[in-house]
Amino acid sequence: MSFKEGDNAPSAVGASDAAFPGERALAAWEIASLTVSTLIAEWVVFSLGGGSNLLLAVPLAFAFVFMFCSHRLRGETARDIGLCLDNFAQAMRLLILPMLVTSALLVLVGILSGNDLNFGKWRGGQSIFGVPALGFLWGLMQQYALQAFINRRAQILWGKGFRSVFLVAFLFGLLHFPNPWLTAATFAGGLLWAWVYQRAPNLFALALSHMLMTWVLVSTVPASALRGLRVGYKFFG
Amino acid sequence: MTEASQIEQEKPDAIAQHRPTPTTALSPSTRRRLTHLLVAKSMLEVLFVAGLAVGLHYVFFNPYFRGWTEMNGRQVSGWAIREDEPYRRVEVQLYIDDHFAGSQIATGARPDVVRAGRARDEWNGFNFDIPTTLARGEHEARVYVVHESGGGVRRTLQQLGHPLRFRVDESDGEKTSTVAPGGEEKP
Repeated sequence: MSFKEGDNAPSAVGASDAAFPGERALAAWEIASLTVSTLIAEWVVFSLGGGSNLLLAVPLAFAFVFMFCSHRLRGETARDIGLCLDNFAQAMRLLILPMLVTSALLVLVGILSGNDLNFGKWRGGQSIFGVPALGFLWGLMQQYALQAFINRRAQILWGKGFRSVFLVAFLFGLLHFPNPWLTAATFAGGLLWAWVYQRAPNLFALALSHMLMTWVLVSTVPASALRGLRVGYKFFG
Repeated sequence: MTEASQIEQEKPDAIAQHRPTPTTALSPSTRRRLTHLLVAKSMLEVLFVAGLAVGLHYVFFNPYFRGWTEMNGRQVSGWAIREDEPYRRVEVQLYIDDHFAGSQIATGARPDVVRAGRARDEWNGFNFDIPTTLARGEHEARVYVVHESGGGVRRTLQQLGHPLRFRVDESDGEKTSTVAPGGEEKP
């Protein structure tokens, strides 16, 4: 699989070309554009469209078509963005310890809050064992947008390191606003996943981690606190 | 030595094959195309949001309601129709001083509305009695048409005509009202 087009061959810089934004400005614009698409889906479509799946698909389609075109223009391959398996084990090795510690903390929170820990449940009481593929794909989709796109553009802005990792985590938390538990959890998860992605870019490992941590979260934190994992305008409904 | 650097030492080739940080400078033509892509996406999103807002406003607040309200002695009366469905009866609600005061389907006879060419049939009038419990003094009456959308999930109220201001005076045990109405749809 390749997004490659990569029309990056040097060419003469005309006056009109100089008028276009620089590389860092473009990266910032790309991040903002994707964030806006997601906010439109979460806030505008849910408030005006009553959560219609058809309407919801429009800004999401814009976002995914845009990301795909951006990969092509920048000459990024599937392997570049982390859709590969060769570094899966490396990414999992970086993830496993923080995941275990976070899971232990969440179990502790569940016990202290008097919640009935139930690792066989999923949203709406549906069994997690019935939807692992869905959970994995959902995680993969989010991690793709978050890491393969936002993280990589953040690295163009500020390079690897705290600032780009923090930006990814901040945006991930922001997109789960106003759900307080999810905002906090996704900010923390965003820090971990962005940090791991910058060291071992593997989206499958991150998607697996995303799915497992979501499972632990819904199994330990009281449902009344999670509010059905609703975000955006839907949080109030 | 950090865990990440250990990993990089263990599998340098695998890491090197990835380009986790896009470092290649974009050519001017690529920058131009990417800019055009971003502008196009922004425009599509603006159109989508605007279309959504206008379309849903059309659904929530039907623009085809027509009617008139006036004070008629101790009654608030008038007529209400839906131009897009002229034979469908319209539900109207009376609010006095922003409090619900009554609801009815506008089915009263208003031959004058038909003569004025504003309706296909005459059965679109309404009459609300002003509640006898109103205190003395100035009051304001508003009549709204009720519109359902989303299969009855949403109900919106749209004001018919203009607010009617009136005064209740208690003399000889009888309440009377004086009126200052307004409007544009009077037949």
